[in-house]
Amino acid sequence: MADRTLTINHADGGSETYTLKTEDVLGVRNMSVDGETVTIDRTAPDLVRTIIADGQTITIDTTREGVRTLTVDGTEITIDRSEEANLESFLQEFTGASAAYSLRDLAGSGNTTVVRVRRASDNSEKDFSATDVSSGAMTDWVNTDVLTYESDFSSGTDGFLTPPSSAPWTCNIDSIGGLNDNLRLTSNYPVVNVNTYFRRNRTLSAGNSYRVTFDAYIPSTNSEVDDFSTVAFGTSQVNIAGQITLDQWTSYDVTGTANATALFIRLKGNSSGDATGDVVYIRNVQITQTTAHGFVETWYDQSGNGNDAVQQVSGSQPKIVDAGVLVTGGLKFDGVDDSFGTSLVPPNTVTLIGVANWNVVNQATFLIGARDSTDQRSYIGQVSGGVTALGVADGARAGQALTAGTDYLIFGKHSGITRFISTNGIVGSDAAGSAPNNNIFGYHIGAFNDAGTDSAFMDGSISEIIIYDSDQLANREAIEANINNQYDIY
Amino acid sequence: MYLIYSTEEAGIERADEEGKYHEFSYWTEGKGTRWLTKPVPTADGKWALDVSEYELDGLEESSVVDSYLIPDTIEDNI
Repeated sequence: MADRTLTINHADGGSETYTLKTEDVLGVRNMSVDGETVTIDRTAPDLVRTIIADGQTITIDTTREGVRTLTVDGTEITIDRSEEANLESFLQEFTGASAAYSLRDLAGSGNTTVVRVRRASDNSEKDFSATDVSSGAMTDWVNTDVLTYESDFSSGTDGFLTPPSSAPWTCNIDSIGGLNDNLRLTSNYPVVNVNTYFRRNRTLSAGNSYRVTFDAYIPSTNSEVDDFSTVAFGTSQVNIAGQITLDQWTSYDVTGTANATALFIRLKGNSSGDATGDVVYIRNVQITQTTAHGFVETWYDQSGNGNDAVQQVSGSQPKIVDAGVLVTGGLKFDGVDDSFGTSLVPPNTVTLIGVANWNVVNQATFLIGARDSTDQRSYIGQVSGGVTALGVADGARAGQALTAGTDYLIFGKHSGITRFISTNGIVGSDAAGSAPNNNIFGYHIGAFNDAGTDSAFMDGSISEIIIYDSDQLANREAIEANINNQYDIY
Repeated sequence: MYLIYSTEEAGIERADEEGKYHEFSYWTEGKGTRWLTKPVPTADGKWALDVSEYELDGLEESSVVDSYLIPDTIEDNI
């Protein structure tokens, strides 16, 4: 796009003219200086980067979402970005992608569905757009309050455990205070100790927050037990002492964050008597999960070709919300078994583009890859030695050295005769290669589909994967500029 | 802990049963998550299902194994 001219006409008849050096992607619609509107020819959307005229410099501050403020020799210029939705998207500018995965709207429709998320608190699933993700709506949905347990003591202890044989309590059902279907613990031990509890295993999810409500009854005829001490979310304890009213049903409402899966409601003694024969009752136990993990079941292909990346096994789904908080840097892969499958078989000529951040370097862990057999590689990732790499038919083309915890943009291309890798814009030399000739196994994301068996699992996060079944070297710098502008990588 | 099956179909059948128990979306909406785990091939031509998080019946509990033979893969220089 050629440079544009910006003219500011003043009320006194004078004017100022600036040359705008432009780049593609984002754009400016109009400006005002000291209350005057300045019109800019925007026949195509572009990102204004620098404006230079007669030794003056206009500084433009940008964020991932585009230009925010301008100043001219210290005077701020406001920018109207209300027409941002009409700007050209990545896939509109760089056409012909075979598949494109991201949490941003690469297609530019304004409501592109980007992920299908499973909420771990109740296994519900829902599709979300890029806007849903960035606005917090998806995270809010994951953290929707879910009643994960409601007691029913009408026919048993409903999962509450009889404490270990060495412990002083036994569970049973009884009626007290005019109400039936209660859970009763009767002491057969003289003192109250750490094993004096109501306990229910496999009830909580570590890292997540809960609200526990229950009603309790302690009779004044007890010799020793006269209160509760804590509710423990795993081993994370919340003090509830001093709330009980003896000989009445007392309601408890406790919130906490679990660090393990068992729930404990612990009792307390007054150290003045023998606890043997003392009783305590609880009923109406409700557990509400208020934060949750969110996992991605489908990372939708935005190219329009239907090459969605899918993981139907819950334990192998990458995480997008971790204990109620949106994961930073895209989707989080555990390095153990997380991956997505696609049906896109590696073409002989392919451009693979990805943004990733590794937790550990110096091991073979891939953003995306597949092969039918030994010398049919096609992947981008890192390999032993802690360097980025492009997998080609008969080996790996090494790129740049990596540091753990840092974002990287990898651009790889292999064809029947050449191979190329760029890491954060630093180019490795193009070298001769041969065609991989795959026909069977599709690319897997976050792993290497090694003839049907996943390996090289990604330990870290992936923000974006874009695939072209063509040589995109001519667009490399523009593509890298677009992605770097989005993620501020280098 | 693993249960070993002679065929993939038998392993899938048990994985489906567990998926229904967890009310995964595949079984309630017809799409989405289907399994907690799914069977993987073993070196001796059978299928191993990771049941560490499964609700097992008595017969299954007596049949679980701690490990299985992993088949050879293309473990050359990737």
